[in-house]
Amino acid sequence: MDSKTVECYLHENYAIAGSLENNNVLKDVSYLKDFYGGMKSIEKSEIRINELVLNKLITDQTKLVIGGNLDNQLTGLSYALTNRNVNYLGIYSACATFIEGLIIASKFANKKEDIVVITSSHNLISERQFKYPIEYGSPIKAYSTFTTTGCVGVVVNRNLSKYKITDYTMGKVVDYGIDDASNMGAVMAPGAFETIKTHLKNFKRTIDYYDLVLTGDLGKYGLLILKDLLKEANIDTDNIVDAGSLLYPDDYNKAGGSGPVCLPLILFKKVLLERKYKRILLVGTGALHSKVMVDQKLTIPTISHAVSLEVKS
Amino acid sequence: MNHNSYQELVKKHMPKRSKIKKLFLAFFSGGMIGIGSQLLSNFLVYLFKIPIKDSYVWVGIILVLVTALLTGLGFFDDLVSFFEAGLIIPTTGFSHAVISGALDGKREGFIVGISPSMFKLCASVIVSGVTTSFILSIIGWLIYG
Amino acid sequence: MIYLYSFLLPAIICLIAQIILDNTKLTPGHVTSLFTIVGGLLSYLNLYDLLIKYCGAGATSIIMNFGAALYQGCYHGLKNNGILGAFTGMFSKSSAILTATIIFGFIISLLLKPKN
Repeated sequence: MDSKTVECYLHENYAIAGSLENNNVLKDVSYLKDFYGGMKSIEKSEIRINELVLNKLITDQTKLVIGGNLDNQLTGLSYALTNRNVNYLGIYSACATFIEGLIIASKFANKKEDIVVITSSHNLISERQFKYPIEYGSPIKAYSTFTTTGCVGVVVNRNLSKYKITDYTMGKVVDYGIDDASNMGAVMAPGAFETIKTHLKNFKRTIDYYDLVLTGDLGKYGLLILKDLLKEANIDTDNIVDAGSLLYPDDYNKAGGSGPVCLPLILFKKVLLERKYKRILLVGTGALHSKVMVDQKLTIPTISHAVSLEVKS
Repeated sequence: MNHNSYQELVKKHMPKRSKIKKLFLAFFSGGMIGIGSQLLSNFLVYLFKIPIKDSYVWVGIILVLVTALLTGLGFFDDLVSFFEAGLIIPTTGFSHAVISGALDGKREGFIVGISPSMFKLCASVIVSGVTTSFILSIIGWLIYG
Repeated sequence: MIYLYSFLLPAIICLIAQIILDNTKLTPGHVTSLFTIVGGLLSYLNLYDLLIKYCGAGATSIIMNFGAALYQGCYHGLKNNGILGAFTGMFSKSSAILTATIIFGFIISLLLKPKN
């Protein structure tokens, strides 16, 4: 059941990002002026950005929304969906949520009804939930990634379009013994490694089948670790790019972006707009981090899901 | 791959940042707060003719107030990320932890938001200080009377 | 000389703290609690008053002073009022910092909001 060939297509997408992501990396994105977006609290602002994306993408044909984020109880999305006439499947695999959403959508997709797959993240909410109070200046490690603020949604159905999801591989929970919550790259690289290995084996492909392998949010250093792991398994490629590591090119202090929104932001608002790639392997990477369990001296597990995307010219 | 060899692989790819610079910044900022406090204490004694012990307490309160303002205005977290231990060890660190906690809980109101968040980070200081002092006092009293 | 020592003492303590922060998994919370305990210990060994005498405000502006003040309060309470004094005297010498932080925390949280 790991891997399966499917057929569904991506249609409209819409993206909102935060003020710190407004740095010429992305195109065609609405940016917030600050972390509050005009709302009174950060949690309300995440609900608001989910509402704005859903307002743009939900039509009379939309019958199902699949999505998740890093909030406790997925509040950003569930409150944005209140009283809308759609079914809702809330999902969680941390920063691999978007790919998980695409996999599930491919099972429900048909030609008559639309599905919206949506994810979001908010830097201050992640700080408050997983680390320290917002204004607290804790020492920052040079290898830490920075939670990206934003919300991205895409419409999925079985009507033809330029972007086709052709197959997927579901991930398994992997733990290579890292307990440092500042080093998510090191936590998640093994998950991406196992899923890529399984995906290529199940479909009898080599990594060169793809023009581009796009991982979610390993960051600069996590990507180096992944490349080493792949090299040891004789999977040698120069075609792997990490979405998170592309988001803050001028900021020396950030190893990259993190959060479920990194992968779809870079995919829809940079990579696909470049029109260079025909076959892309999307590898979402999620750290199943629980602050309580790390305090109880357990290590952090990870999971990674993958889908293949074909672009018709 | 077993966990130990993975840890080695991770360590190989971690960025190297200058440790000496950090140590110097901590040393320097800690010292500046110390000498600044001494100058302020002398100034208060000279101007208001208060006993030296009282001036030390006033300096502490002024440090707390300045930290509170800078934290509330959003500068202090960048300063702490830069100077690290140099601003965490003096009273500024304690005050910063309490104030940033208080700001964090603002939206959930006074009882369930501000009040519990205030002590989230500094509770360990108070609890460890009180328990140690209690135990050592009992020991000291039993030994010296 | 007091100016030199009021610089050196906090500087050296901060240096040690920075070394601990950089080379171990301890968080700032661990390190400040550790130094509070050290302050209490130094006060127990009658050394903290010496530090204050030579380093002045340099010794009273760091978190070690909080630990020392807690010990002083508790011990003098115990000596003067018996076991009840240990409880009533604990915060007698360190109350200023706690009260100030709580009051200013309350005021600031009413007036301002977190930005990052």
